[in-house]
Amino acid sequence: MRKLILLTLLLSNLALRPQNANASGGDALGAAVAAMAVTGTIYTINSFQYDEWLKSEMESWKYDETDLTTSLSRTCDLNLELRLHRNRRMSYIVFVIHNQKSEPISISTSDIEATYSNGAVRKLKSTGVVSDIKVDPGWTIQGAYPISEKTELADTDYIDVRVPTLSADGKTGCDLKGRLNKNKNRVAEYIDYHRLLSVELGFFYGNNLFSSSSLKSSADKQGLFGFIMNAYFYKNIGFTLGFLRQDLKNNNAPVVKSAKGITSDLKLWETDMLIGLATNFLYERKYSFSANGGVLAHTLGNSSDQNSHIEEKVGMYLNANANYIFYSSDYRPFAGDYMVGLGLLGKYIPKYTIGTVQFGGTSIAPYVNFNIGF
Amino acid sequence: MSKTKIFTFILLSLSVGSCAKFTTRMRAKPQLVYKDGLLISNSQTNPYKFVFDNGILKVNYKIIVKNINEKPASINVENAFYEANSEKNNLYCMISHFGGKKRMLSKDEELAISCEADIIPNNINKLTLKDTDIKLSIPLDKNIYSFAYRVYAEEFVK
Repeated sequence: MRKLILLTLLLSNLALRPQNANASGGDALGAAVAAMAVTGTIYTINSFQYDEWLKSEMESWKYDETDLTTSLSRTCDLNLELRLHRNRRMSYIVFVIHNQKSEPISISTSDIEATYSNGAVRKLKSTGVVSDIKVDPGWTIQGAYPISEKTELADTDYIDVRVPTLSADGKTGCDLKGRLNKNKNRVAEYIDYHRLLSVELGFFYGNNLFSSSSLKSSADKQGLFGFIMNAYFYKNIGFTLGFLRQDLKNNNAPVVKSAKGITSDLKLWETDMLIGLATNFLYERKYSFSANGGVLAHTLGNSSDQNSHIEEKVGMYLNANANYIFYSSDYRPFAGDYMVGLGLLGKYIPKYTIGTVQFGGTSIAPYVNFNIGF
Repeated sequence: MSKTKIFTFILLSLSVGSCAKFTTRMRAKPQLVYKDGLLISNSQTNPYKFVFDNGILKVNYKIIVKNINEKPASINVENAFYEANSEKNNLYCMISHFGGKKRMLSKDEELAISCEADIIPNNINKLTLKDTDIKLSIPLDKNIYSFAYRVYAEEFVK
């Protein structure tokens, strides 16, 4: 948290500091949006720590007596605690084992099983240690085991968990057993059984297909690069922060130079800061559809004159992409849904004219994108 | 001040404001113990959420108890107490979702006990709780169950 505050302070300071005589509010807005994007990214990186992801216990599996999913049991002088957690993406069986025997035991982590009430058996794989674990007398261990397909739990009334243990010499074994029960008196929350994204980072590259201004697609503009961060917080609805950058070709530079009285070299660029609402739909961990729309802060600038801003406008945008998930994992260090796709970005910026060149207007740009969902 | 600077100021305020109450760093041994028919777990207590606020350590404590004895067990949390260094004081506990302090716990029944205390250390520097040992004790049935914590660092002491 301390690092987060320092980073936010640093970036906010950069945002508030005047950069040059021509600097305007666009710099501050840009840095502020960048600060928010970086802050979000840090949270995302932190979320790789799976225990930080274990936000809450499954609402529909909590017992009325304790308001918790905790289930305690004891076998062979070994104490077992089971809990059922979930975040937006997955469910987890969390177990705690305390060795109250007078000798050490070993636990074969690759043999831990969950049997659902419908008879389905799932081998559980830890997000952390994958080798056998030795537990000395008086010691306690804890582990989190993801259930990737949490939709399966919607039709499950209970889960029996079996944790095989061996004595230190490997000669005698004892199976620790516990049961997690669904509480049918409780209403399930939407995220209990729906796999949802928390954060989605998107990078895309495209070019204008259509523009209502006098800047006609690729004849006047170079490629469009963009970065988008979607943070979802209510079901599959959230907000978007984004950044677009597009350099302009030099064919219109002489007119703008003349109209603005610029004497130095002119290299025009456009940036758009986006802020809006986002939604996402996942289909069977294979396909993802994201859409977002909102307002944008548009800046026309000149990169050869200390990034001076020539014009600023506020507009609107609508963005959608359809993706194929080519890799999906629930295990660190590459936990996430990795996807490639195609998208379409529509923008409306009030038209403005510099000399005889018309900027802004309505534009549509197709693009290819790479997204990572967490 | 321009709109963008106001926007940035709000962003900054929200970031700092989210840390207005500072969390202590506590070291605690997770416990899942069995004694005389009762299984007790303190895993629901997150010592990172003990909040240090203006010289007071606000402790929120939760344990789970299961009776795996053949006989009912008597749960009475009236006399729970805490010790912070050499100070000893009342720890206010309730049986969760029943609201009382006394209850019989039948075989295989499980319940949660929530406790809280405002620990105001008298014999140590009020600006720091570092290296303070805190022991929370709850009498259950025939035994007193104790869980020990140690403050090993503080962040952003006011």
